[in-house]
This record gives sequence, C-alpha cells and structure tokens, in this order.
Amino acid sequence: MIFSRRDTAAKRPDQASIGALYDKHAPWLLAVCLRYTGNREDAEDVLHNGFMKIIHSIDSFNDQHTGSLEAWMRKIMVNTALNYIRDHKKEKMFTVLDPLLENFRESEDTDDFGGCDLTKDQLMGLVCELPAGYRTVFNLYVMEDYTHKEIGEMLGISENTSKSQLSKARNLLRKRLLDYQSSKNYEKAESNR
Amino acid sequence: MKKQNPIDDLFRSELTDYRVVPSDERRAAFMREVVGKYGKGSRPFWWIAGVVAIILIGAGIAVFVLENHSPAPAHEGSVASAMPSAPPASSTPFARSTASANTTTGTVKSNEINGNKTNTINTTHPASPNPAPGSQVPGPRTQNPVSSSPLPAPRSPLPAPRSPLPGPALAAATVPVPSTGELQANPAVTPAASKVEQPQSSLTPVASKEEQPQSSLTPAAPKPEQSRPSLTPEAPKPEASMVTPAPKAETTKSSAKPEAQNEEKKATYREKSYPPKKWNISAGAYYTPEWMFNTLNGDKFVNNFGVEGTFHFGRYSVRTGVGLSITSGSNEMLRQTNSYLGAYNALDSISFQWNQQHTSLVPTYFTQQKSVYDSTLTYNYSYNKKRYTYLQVPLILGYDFWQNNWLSLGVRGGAVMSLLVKSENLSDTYNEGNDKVITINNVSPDRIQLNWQGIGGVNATFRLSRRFSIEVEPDVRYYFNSVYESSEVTTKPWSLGVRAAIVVTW
Repeated sequence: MIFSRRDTAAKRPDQASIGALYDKHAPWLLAVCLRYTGNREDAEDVLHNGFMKIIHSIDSFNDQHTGSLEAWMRKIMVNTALNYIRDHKKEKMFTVLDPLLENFRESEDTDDFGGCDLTKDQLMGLVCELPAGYRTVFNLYVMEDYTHKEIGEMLGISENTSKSQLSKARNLLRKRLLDYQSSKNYEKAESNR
Repeated sequence: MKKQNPIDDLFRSELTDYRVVPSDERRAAFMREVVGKYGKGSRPFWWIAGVVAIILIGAGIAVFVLENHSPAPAHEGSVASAMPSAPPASSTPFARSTASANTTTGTVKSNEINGNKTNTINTTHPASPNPAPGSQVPGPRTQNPVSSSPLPAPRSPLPAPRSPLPGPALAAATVPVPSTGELQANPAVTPAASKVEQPQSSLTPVASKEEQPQSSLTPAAPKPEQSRPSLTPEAPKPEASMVTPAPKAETTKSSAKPEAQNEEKKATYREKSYPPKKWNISAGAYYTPEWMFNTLNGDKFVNNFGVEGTFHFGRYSVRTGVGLSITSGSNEMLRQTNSYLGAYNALDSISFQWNQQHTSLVPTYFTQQKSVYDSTLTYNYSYNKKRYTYLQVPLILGYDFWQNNWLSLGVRGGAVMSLLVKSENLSDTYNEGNDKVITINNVSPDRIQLNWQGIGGVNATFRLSRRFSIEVEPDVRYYFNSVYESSEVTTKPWSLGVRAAIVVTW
C-alpha cells in the first residue's frame, strides 16, 4: 500500500498522501531529471510532469506492478525527461563529427579516479555541462544500465552512434577530471614550495 | 556484460544517491495542480452539471414568471367585473356574451355606430326595400343604452326593435332601460327579438350574421308596423303583463349563444391550426458552431452541420441523423534524414574481350552511380496543418417542459458518435530532395479515428408556421475519450456550441 490514506470517493490518494509521496521521492527524482536536462529549471518542469503521470497512473502500479516503486517512478521520470528533451532540443543532438567513429570500438580506460575528491555537486556539474546527446547516452548507459542497442532503439539512433556518444562523453569527462587533478596537484606543489 | 570503466564507476557511485530538493514554489504548484485535477473529483462533470442546473433553474423561473403574468382569458375576467350584481339565473350567459364583446374597444365603437346607423336607417331610408319584419326601429325614438349604461354592449349587427318588455323586466337582466316602455335599441336585447322571431324566415339569416360588421345592419331595418304585431303574439305571457322575467332570461341566454359559439369556433380554429397530435415526425437541417477547450494545441473551432430527424411523442422526443464535423489542427513531425553529399560511379564489374588484331584483352567496365550520404542524422521539425472531417451520428433524447402555440422550451441530452472519415493535409508537401529519410515520427499525436461525446443542452423551438419551425439549442459537450491517438494524452476536451436548425414537421 503506497498511500496511507485514500480519498475513497474519488478513489485517489488524498492530498496529504500525495504531499508525503512528493516530499519523499521528489529530491532524488529531481536529481535524475537534472542529469538529463542539464539545468534546474527544465529539470523541475520534467519533475512536475513526471510526477503528475505518476499520480495519474499510481493505480496501475498497484494493480500490475510488483516490483520496486522507486524503479517504476524512475522509469516514468526518465521517459518524461527523454520526451521533454526530444520536444525542446530541436538542434542536432547526436552529432558524429568523424564518420570513422561509426565503426568506433571502445578503448580501454586505464586512468584511476578513485582518489578524486570532487564533491557530488561538482560531479553533477560536469555531467550537466556535457552536450545534450553525450549526456543522454551517458546517463542511459552508465546510470540506467541500458545497453547500446536499447539506447539506440529508445533514441532512434544507431548502436554505433550511441557508442561514439558515450565515448565522447567519457573523454570529455576524463579531460575535465584530469584538468582538475593537475590543477590541484599544481596547487599542492605550490603550497609545498 | 558491460566493461568496468573508472569514469562510469566514479559517477555511478557518487551520483546514485544524489538529491536536489525542489523549490517550495514548484511543490506548491504541483500540489495546486494535483488538487485541481484530483482533489475535487471529476471537475468536468461538475462543470457540466452546474451549467445544466443553472440553465434549468433559469428556464424554470422564466416559465413560472411567464405563466403567472400571462393575462387570463377575456371572458373570465370580464364576468367578474362587468356583472357584479347580476342575478345568477339570467346574468351568466348574458354576461359571457357581454364580456366577450367588451374585450375590444372596437366593439364599443360598433355599438355607437349601431345607434347612429339606426338613426341613419330611419332617416335616410324610411322605407327600406327589404324590410325585416319586427326589427325596424323608428329613428327618433331609438336610444342607445350603451352610452348610458355601465355595461358594455355586445356586438350585434341587428338594429334594436321596439321592445315589448317593461323596465323592471329589463332591469332584472342588468340592462338599465328607461321606464318609458318605448322600444329600446339595446343590442343586448336585440338578439332576443331575433330569437323570438326565429319562426319568421326573414330574421333567421340575420342571427347567423352576427360576426359580420355593421354593414349587415342595413338590410335588417324593418318597418315598425311590421315588427310590432309580429313580436306581440310570440312573447310568452303567463300573466296580463306583456313580459315576464323568464322569457327575458331565455332571451339573454339565446343572445349569449352566438358569442359563445364564436369563442368556441375561434378555439376550434386555433386547435385546427396547431393540432395537438400525440406524435409527429420532423426533419431538418442543422448547423452548430462549437468551441472546444482543453485540447493540446489550444482552443479549437469546429463546424458541425447535417440533417436529422426527430420523433416526437407528447412532450418527449428522440432525435438522430447524420452530419459532418469539420475542424483543423496541426501536428508536429520529426524527420530524421541523412544529408546527400554527392554521387560517384562505383565499379560494378569488368568484362574482357580478346582482341585478335592487337592480341590483347580489351576490358569493359560496368559502373553504377552510388549516392553518398552524410552519416550524421539531421533532424527536421515541421508543423503540418490538417483538416479533419468527422462523420457524426447523434442520438438525442428530449423533453419539452413548457409549450405554447409559438414557442416550446425543453432539455436535450444524449450521445454523439464521431468517426474520422477524412484527413487532409493543408500544408505544403515536405520535399526531402536527395536526402535519405531515415524515420518520420509524429511528435504531437494525430487525431483519433473514433470518439464519443456526451451532449446536453436547452432547446427553444420557435414555430414559424404549422410546418416550419426554428430551433436554437445551446449545448455543452464532453468528450468521453481523448481526441488524439496517443495513449499518453489524457486530456479530454469539452466544448460549448449553439445548434441552429430549420425543421419541417409532419
């Protein structure tokens, strides 16, 4: 039972239950939206629309779904975010500058970022700064655990395009992280001197 | 199995439990929308119910006010006012005829004319070529009781004969008569003379001409010498006196009969004009401008028109028909293309032939032109304006709660089925040129093939004639399912419209 109380006349959760649900789940769902949209204003729009869908179809979750509520809400929110991006980002999202990247093969990544001391806000900032296409594929692949084939079907792109977008996203993030580490090492060396 | 990547691991581990608290304004906005959409139950239903209730209450008040302020039938009100002290035995039929004649000033004038005419007859035509025996009144002795009596005189084309009735007898009939015993020109009494003299063949048609105007007076001017002896023997005489009240009462009753008959005739005529049949069938053509709300692309204007037939039984009716509903809209399309870069001749095959003269192989190259496309997907968004034509079949039930001869008010409610029969593209056709189209997707959904609407309204029918009438019907529609194909779109439109129809009734 998701809601503690229900408006039996309307067969809907009452206001207090909806408010409690929102307060509990909106923060992490907004973070999901922020990863996809790249800015807070759009993310809150997506959160609003996605939460309305959740409330609207909460009965279907009760009736049909036996899995985790969080996974179900995340899926709705991701789909809402993708629709939002598709509707509002009318420029080329998935640009492949080098045709050779169509036959892209994932390279081995040997850098270790285990000691990275960037805060979560800074890491989120790095993701938000990615171009929309990179960001979308990166989120779907890394955070939502989709395969390139699934991503290609979801976004209407080829599997190789998805791979190339992910590679570029990683390269960009790696570059930013290395820049940060080098600047930090430089500052440390300066301070030791 | 996905390969481990330090970048992926870093971001996955750090951002999985990342939280961003929404602003209070957003939370308040969300709660407002939730309350508006779900907290108040099904809002469109209550909107419709409220509008219908207001219309019905307004119509009910209007009917109540109309019925309470409508003038009472003329004869009822006049009886009470014109005959306050009349004896019941003789006054009622007389009062009816008197009152019915009193309803219009024209009738009073006719009485004045009656007196004048009588004078004219006597002065200008002392010897009428066609004298009516027993109805001639000498001019100088004729009096017009209308001018002196508070009672209005009934309309009578007959000139007053010399009455054999004495004054008290007439007073009992509530007509003040001078006690001189002279012949009275009281038109109320005049029909009595005709009644009394009905055996005389010359008077019979006069009584039947009571509806005619004053010109009918002229041939009914008899000589007094003929009227006096003819009246005297026929008047009932129980005693030595000339007249008793009983025959006078009969006289007034008989005078009231033609007026009452006239009223009955008029009522019958009215009923014949608009016969209250128990059932009838009507057919007509309608046009309904409709304004739709709560749609994806903003408010929409819809034109509805068609033909329909209605079966009426009593106050109830069932209406159906067939019509077209035409509206326009736009849907957004996304086309993914690969741009055309050029073409080259690709070698398909080579064949060799031995040239004996030169002792060498001569190659023949078979090539094929191949286009080269950019591998980058190009996204093109376009809005296509479309016109949608729906076939509509309504089934409307009705009840008329108020009717009169020219107007009826009622309520109507039912369902309308709409079937998409035609979808025209009004925009220019998209030409992709040499580009290769990869996919074409509808960003905004297209219109649905079939939808149902509930409709309710108030009907006002104005009768132009016995067969033709005009109907005006403001109505509210609620679309039971979304008008769009997409299952994600849950908005259900509602609309306001005014139906106007020309109807022929059989």
